[in-house]
Amino acid sequence: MKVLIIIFFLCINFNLKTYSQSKPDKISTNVVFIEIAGLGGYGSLNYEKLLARKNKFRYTARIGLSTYRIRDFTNKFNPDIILPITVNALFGNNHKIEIGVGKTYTNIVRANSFDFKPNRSSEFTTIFSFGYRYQKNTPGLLYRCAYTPILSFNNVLRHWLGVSLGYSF
Amino acid sequence: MGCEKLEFNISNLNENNITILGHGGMGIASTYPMNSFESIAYCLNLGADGTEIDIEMTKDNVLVSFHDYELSDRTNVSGNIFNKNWDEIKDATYINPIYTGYKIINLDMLFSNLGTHRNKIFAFDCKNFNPDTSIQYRTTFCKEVLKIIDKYNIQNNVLLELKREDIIKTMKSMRPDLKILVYADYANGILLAKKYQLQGIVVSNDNITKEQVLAAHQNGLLVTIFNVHSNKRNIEAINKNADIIETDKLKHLLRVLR
Repeated sequence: MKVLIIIFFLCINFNLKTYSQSKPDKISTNVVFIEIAGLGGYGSLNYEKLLARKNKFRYTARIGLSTYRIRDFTNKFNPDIILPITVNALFGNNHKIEIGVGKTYTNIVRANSFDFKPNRSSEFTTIFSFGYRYQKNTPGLLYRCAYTPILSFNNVLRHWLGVSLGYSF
Repeated sequence: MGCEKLEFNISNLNENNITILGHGGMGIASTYPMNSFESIAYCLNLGADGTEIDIEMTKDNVLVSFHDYELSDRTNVSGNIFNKNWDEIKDATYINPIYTGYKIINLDMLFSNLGTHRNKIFAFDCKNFNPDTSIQYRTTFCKEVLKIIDKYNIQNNVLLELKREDIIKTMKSMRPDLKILVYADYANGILLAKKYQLQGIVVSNDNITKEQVLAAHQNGLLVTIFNVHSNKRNIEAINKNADIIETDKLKHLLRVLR
């Protein structure tokens, strides 16, 4: 009888274990982050979306928003707009290497060459980033730092850096 | 960060007021490059009494608003202004901030587009990096400065800040009516100002005390203080009883004094 009772409890235990399965972890496909310096000039707010992934590779697209000033030199509301846009390849698990390439769209208010009144002009500037990122594949904090050279429209190659803090979800 | 009004007991030769000038417009830390049209215009539109402007002359005698000995320190062009013709640098753009592409400007273009701001006060910081000390160079430089002054009728509201004694001598002989302040350390400044009967001295905030300002005033000399790149330094310069402050923190100085 005692043996039967012991066998009974062992079977229940086995069955309970059989039915308890863990849920699969959610893969984060979105990132928001603040970058200090970097592709936005002095700083930018950014959103990144996962496009594809395979094994340890992830491919993303990023868009940022930045400005240098809200008022122009006549002291009227007339903000500059800076939008870095890149596509990126990342490799690794939690610790990742990243490479990015893209364009920054800028719409800056300067003095017109003829009448020196405020005048907006748009340019596209080629940008790159090569860096390191700590980002788990599941939601959570991320940190990154990157070398972000900028080839300006006035033919100047700027060596620049960016550090970022963000959240993936 | 308090909003309380600061009280100052100013005693100087400027009717106990302090003339507020921007440093090359909005100063060294602005997102507008110093001496660009945008920087100068913004400074004047914010309500400054005027601005200091750095002046250099090209090989073909065009006066340019620019601060540095070497163009590549701030622009996408290399070389010295005194070794270039205007056509070689007229499309030069400032490299900072990134993406902005503000352009270099000459004095004639600047003043022809300032509108009513021409009535404000302008301190011409004449750099004279050109090592040429010949009579021809000195005379040509002074004549070009005077052309601008007379063309835009700013004789009464321009202050000439001169470093080189040979330029002081030449300008003084050509136009004794103009206000000239000597840009030097305190001791040499007082000596030169007295020797050539100048209106005052221009000294770094780091190199002058309140007592020295008082001594300059007792000699009948105005004192312009520059190198004022923080709120704290603005207050220091005010408390030293400067007659004129060339500030890099214009908005703060306007708030505390106006």
